[in-house]
Amino acid sequence: MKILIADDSKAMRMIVMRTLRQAGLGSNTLVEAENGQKALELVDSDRPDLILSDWNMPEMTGIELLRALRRRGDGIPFLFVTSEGSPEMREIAEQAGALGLITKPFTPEVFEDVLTPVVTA
Amino acid sequence: VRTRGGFVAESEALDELFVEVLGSLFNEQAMTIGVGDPRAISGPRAVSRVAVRREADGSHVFVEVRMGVQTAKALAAWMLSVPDPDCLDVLDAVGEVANILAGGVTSLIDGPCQLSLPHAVVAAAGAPDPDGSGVVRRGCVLGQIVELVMRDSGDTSELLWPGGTMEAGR
Repeated sequence: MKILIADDSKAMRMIVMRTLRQAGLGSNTLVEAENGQKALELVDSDRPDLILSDWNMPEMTGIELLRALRRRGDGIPFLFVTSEGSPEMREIAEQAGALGLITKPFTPEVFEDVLTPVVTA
Repeated sequence: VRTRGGFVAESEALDELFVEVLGSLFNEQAMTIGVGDPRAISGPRAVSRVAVRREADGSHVFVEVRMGVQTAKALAAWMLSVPDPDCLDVLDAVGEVANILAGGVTSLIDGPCQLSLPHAVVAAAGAPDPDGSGVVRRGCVLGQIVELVMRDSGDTSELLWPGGTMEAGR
């Protein structure tokens, strides 16, 4: 499985990759994007099986990325990994077609609980 | 600072958030320390700031994180798994601390909010604070002081917002 990680912070992308490994998901191929626009380009070129995306990014936000994908009929599984986790944001995310939202800071256990069903589906 | 119950009343929640974020990002034990503790940030400091804008009235709360540059380098080294992070990596790591804390602060504010992107700089030791005082929380991690400052006024001109628009254009 190929997982695309979109976050404007290189440090946070590294933390997400490390946490994936700690959650037992390190055998998957990981690709990175620094904003939603780059992520959209990587979806076309690399065809990831899952997207883990920050919400607030320059150029194109995570929710704009998700809506762009769904508008063109792309149902790729999509999860937010972001610093805000209000009920309003969760509702917006789910209405736009996200599987859910993981708030920062997170633990390997949270990644394992949320992602293992997705990765093994 | 106008929040649900005021930041002073939310001090316990703020302290818990501060310790959780520091502990998680540094991968070390963290604790809050009182105002009477004489320890201070020494030398040049890394400072990052995020603005939280309330959608209801357009007002802002500014969340600022300060730590010594050496502490920031230790943070970046851990986050990026590199022995000697460069300046951009250090600013990126410190910016993410403010970003995550600001995300947590939104849970203490009534109504929907919008976060700016983090803005991080290195400031000389003893540099004046152009925005004055605010609500200050002090934490300790790796034996070093980290400060969380929140205020309801400040300069938004250098901040970028998600999607890339400048504050002035919004």
